[in-house]
Amino acid sequence: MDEKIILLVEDNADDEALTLRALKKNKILNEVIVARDGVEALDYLFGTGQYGGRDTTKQPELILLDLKLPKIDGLEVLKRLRANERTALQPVVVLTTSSEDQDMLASYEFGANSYIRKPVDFNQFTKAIGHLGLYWLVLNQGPPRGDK
Amino acid sequence: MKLGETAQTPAPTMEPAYFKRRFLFLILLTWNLPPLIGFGFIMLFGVLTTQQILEIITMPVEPIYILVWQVIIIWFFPKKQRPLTDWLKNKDTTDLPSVLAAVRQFPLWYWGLFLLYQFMAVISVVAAAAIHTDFILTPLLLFRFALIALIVSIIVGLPIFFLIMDLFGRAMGGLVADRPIITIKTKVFLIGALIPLLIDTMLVQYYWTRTGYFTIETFGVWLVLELLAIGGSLIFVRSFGQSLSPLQTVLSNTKDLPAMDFSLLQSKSTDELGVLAGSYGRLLGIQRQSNMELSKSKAEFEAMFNSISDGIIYSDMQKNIIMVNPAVTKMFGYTARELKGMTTKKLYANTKVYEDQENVHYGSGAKDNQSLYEVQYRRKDDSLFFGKINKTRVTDGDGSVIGLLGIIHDVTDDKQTEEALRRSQQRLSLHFMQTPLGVIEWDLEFTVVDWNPAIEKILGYSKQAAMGKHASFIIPNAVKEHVDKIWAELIKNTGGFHSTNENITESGKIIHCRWHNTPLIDSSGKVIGVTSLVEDITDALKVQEELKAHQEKLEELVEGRTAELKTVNKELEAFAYSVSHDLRAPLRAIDGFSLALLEDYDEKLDDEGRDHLRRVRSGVGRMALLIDDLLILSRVSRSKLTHTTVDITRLTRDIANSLKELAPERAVRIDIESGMKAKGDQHLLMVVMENLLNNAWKYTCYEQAAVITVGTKKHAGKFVYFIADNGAGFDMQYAGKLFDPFQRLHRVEEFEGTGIGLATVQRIIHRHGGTIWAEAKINQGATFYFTLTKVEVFEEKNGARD
Repeated sequence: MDEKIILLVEDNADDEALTLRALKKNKILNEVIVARDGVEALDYLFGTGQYGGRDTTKQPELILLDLKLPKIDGLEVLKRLRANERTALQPVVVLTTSSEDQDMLASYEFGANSYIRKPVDFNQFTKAIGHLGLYWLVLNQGPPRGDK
Repeated sequence: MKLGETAQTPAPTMEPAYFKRRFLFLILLTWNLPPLIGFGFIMLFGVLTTQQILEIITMPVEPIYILVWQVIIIWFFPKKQRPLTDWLKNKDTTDLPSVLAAVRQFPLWYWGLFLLYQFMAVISVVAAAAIHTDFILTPLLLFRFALIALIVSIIVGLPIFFLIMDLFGRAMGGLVADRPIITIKTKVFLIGALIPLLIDTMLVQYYWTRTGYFTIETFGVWLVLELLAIGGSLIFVRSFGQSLSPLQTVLSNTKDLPAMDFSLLQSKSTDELGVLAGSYGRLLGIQRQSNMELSKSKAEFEAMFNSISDGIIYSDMQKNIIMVNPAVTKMFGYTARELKGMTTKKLYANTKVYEDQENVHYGSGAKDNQSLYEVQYRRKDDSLFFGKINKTRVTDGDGSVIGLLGIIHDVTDDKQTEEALRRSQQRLSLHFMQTPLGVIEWDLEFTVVDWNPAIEKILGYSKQAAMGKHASFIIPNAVKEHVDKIWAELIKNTGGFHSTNENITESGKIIHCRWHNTPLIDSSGKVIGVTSLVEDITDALKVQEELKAHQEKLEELVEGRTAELKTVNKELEAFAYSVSHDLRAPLRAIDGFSLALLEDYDEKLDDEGRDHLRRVRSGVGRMALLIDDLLILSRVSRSKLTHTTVDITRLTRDIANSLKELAPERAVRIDIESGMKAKGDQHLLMVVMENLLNNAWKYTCYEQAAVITVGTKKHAGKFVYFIADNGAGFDMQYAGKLFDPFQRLHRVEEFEGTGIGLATVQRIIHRHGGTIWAEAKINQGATFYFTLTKVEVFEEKNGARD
């Protein structure tokens, strides 16, 4: 079986480091692709730009998506990947600092599977990432790969 | 009841069968008595011997003859009287006259048969004598017998018949069967023809008997004499008939009398009877004429009497009512039957007044036959009304008073109308003088007819100066055309009822006036003038314009402010958003990497270093809390309120349960009143209760037996919610600062907190239109009270129902 890839879309280097640390602390050793803005994330998913030629049949098992992103923001990324049939069913967890109702509502409206607000306390953050990895990568049955 | 109609014949009471027997008996008597008398004559004159008579009777001819007639009678008469027998069975009184007429009418052939019978009776006797005895019947003898029979039947037969019919009528119990109608002509003929016949016949008989001489010559003389007598009688009858015919026409046609042309009655005869008949005809004509006039005037009188709206009472001199018209029954509420015979006194409101009035008008001092006065009357239902009565004494031909005629006019309406008219006139003149509106009345020439004080003030002209002037003196040239058009419409009553235009005052000032014009219409619908109400709106117009300018300015201002406010609001939202997002990210980095240091470089840090890092992390935690609380506060201010019915009790219980779950080691008793419900924003009220309960929880953490009570009560006449605890409390002198943001009454080391929670609570309560305050003592707990204005009514209602 193919290895389950995690796509982390995060522009903040601190948050990226902390997220990776939290994953590691939770013994989640899956390959993590980091996209630092919306464009990069979409390039990876659709095999365009710098990821031109990538085998797009292989899609990440979990996408961790920040909302505030340079170039194309997280909600737009979500909208586009939901509009594409290859990624339409991929699990997307919005991982963000915002706790505004409007962000939460919009995320769910565009098809986010889960919405998690990053806690300031790193212990809690680690716990949250642990739960998240356990749930989406181990417990959850992803959509069947119909095109394989 | 029609005049001349006789009383009805009393109905006979006898049984039909008895009547039938009686009738038959009488009829038989009528038919058999004359022949018996005839036999008597024969015996008397000695025409036949007793022996011969006995033989005749015992021989078949005579008995057969008698028997045949008896059969005919018995067959015919029961048929004749059948209508009467039938009537006796049914007793339908209406048919009686026609039944009686049918019974007593004998047709001509009956009389002929009767005479034949009489005549044949004699013939049969002598014929029988000739056949059975030695009696020799010569033609002369037969003639002689015939003459005797004639005499007997006329003198004896007819009277007996009538006599017996009379007896019959009496036997019927008063049922008088009239004799057959015999006209004068018949009588004259009978007297003229029969009496000579009788006398002649008796003379001939006498002569013959005495002399025994009877020849053809004698018979010839007798016959000529008879013919002469009959002829003379007929001529007399004819002449008599001519004189009587008009009367006969009348008498035989009484039914058609009303329509008959009486000129036909003019008799051709000049004798006394003819003149009498003619005069009678004229008399009938006159009577008919006067009858017609009488009935016409009676009808006219009745129509008038019944339809007049004034009440008419006719009473006798004892003041008892004899007759009233329908208006009286309407006026007084009595029925005509009740009024009849009632004393007029009862109709008066006041007995004393009645007596006075009666004395004045009808006492010995009364002079005039007629009087008119006004008095109060009393209806049947005791209500009163004013009436004007015109009383007339009715006198008979010789001048003595026989009754009183009163014509009453109900003047209640007149009085009310009069009063209403007077009041409305008074009001009108008061309005005319007092109204701030100018009033001008114009005639059809558009000249002033009336001018009230207000218009004097408005236009400056006094009434004297304005009266009779044409309207042009108050109309500036600029609006002349406009006003002329309005005037043209007004006098046609087609428009121009309202107008606003400039006018010119006496001092030459141009003012703006609003005109309300009404054409005055006479009863035939013709316009006879115009009344105008005038309002000086110069000042009002100025004020209105100023107001409009102000309003526009104000609207501009509001628009500007609103736009500004919107911008600020948007900025605030953007700010809050970025606070929520951007301020927290660095904090997370600080915390995360501090923890990484503690974990990864633990052996390289001494205790002090580790303590510093812990302080860094605690600072970050507080900072995050502050940010969150601030976000809530800002959201509370920004978010829209959605009012629903909120179950406060349940909401509070949920919060209490989660508090207990988070700190199961603490023993806190939380009493929550049941059934608390409020109208408000569910989410925001949740924030309120969370904050207050958290506070109470927090400040009782050093208490051994912590008690928190949540409930409602009446406080200074208001319905309030309260949350009381027995915790640390606070000094009431700082109570004023309690709800300011970032204000804390305790050190963080004692009790955690940002100082924003109560500010948030206060803002929510204020947004719900309520107030919040607290009462406390140091170490003796604190109680927070709040009201929710909009909810209060709802709660009160609930309370009243329970």
